[in-house]
Amino acid sequence: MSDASRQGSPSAQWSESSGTASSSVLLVQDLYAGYGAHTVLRGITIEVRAGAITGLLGPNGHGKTTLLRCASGLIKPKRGRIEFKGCELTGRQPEWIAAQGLGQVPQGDMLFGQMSVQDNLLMGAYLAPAWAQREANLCRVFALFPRLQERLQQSAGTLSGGERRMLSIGRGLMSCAELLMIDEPSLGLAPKVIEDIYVAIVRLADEGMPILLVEESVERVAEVCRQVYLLDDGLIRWQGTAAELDGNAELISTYLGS
Amino acid sequence: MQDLLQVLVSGLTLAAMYALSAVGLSLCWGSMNVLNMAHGAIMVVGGYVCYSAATFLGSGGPASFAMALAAGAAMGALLYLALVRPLRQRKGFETLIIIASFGLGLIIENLILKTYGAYPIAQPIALEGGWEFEQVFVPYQNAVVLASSSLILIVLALFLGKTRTGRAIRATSISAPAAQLQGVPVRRIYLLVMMLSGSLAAASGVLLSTLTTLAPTMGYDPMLKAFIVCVAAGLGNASGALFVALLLGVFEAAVGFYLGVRFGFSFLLALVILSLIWRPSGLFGGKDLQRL
Repeated sequence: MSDASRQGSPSAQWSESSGTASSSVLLVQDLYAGYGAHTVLRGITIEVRAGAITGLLGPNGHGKTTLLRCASGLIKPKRGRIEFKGCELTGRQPEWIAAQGLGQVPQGDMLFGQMSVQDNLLMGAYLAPAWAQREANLCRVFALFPRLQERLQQSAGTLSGGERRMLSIGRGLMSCAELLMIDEPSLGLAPKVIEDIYVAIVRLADEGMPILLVEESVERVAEVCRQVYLLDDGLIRWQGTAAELDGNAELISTYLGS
Repeated sequence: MQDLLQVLVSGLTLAAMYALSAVGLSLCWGSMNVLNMAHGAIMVVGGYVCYSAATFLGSGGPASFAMALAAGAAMGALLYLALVRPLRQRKGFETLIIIASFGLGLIIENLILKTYGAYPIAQPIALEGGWEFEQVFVPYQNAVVLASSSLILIVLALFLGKTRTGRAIRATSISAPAAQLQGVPVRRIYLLVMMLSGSLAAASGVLLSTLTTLAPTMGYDPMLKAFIVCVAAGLGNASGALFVALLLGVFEAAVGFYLGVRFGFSFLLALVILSLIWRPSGLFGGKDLQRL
């Protein structure tokens, strides 16, 4: 991507590039959102393009999860608009948004704890198009996370943290989603397990799945993402490529304190 | 030995009816925190619809029963659309819906009273007679009640356990937002659960009326017992409710047989109170729920 196009406003980029190989999948424009009187997001504009991992980086409690919850319809934004594949999502119910192909691997996994691993995966394939392809998608998930196949009849609540994360991502893959938003995949996991999860995420992206990755860890984001947004205190403070982020020690120490 | 078998016959029959309505109540609470006080009224509707179908339309037992199930589902849908949906987002929903559904139940029961009168009516589809084995008497109707409730519960368990929609019902009751993220239309699931629960209430009402008689107030006692079963099992746990219903049905029949029928209910309450002291959230209880 050229410098000029990167520095242009995302909306302009989006209208120029729609239909090309790296077209825009998700577009968030001037989004304000929060809980009650408390405003968490104060005018966010980001764009997720096809064919790569887009990173959303920022410290905890600064609105990353709120942004994802707005996109998937779990909370209603106060202002602004969200478009997915050119289709307006703002104000829609989460089930409608999921049916458009926007998949979310939520923070804390939100598994169905009392249900078996198999039932959790099948819940991911609830929508009719995914239901028709559930066998093929199960194979795909098992290829990515063989551990899940061994635990098929075990209830999701008894899995280890890493297995829960695998199940949560696996459930997201069962849905034939056209964009997967993954919220802090490394949260609370041991380094070795984080490594496994990231191998899987990169493999998914290589297979052509567009991913919006929410992370706190600069190293992880710099390693796998193409485009990176830095979200701090409800605003996008910086955007650029992962390589630029890596070389910008001042930026990292200002916003991420490391 | 004969005594024990006789107790089992009447206890299991009681249990089967408790189970049908307790499972229905439990489904509603489990998926949307609705304590449906119109459950008894829906039992009454089921009983009278079955009676009317058999008497005025001349339909046979199974057809009349099916019509009662359909009427129960319709009542469940009415309850959802008229009360649950408009109140769902309101503060204090759990309390509001108890009072609102109690009101709806009163209206339904009084409409039935006005239409059919207060006198008890015999349920025409009930069978007479029975088998006698070694001094144990098994009325045909008890066998019908047992068989049909078991069949209904097995079909329900298969539906909830194995089908795409049944799985979505379970998922919604565990976490409605997580189910929505998978594309589950949770409001349609709520409607479906209320209809299922209404059908179960109607089924239980018909079966009850075949063993006793039809009366506009016949729903109160079984509804109370179904609530007791649900509380003892842990609210919202349908399979737990089934187990506790079996236990309490047989227990009540045993106390009734050995000590006298008038002690049955008080001993049942005593047992439930003791079990709640031991496990305050019910034998199988202990979960919080997020409702949308």
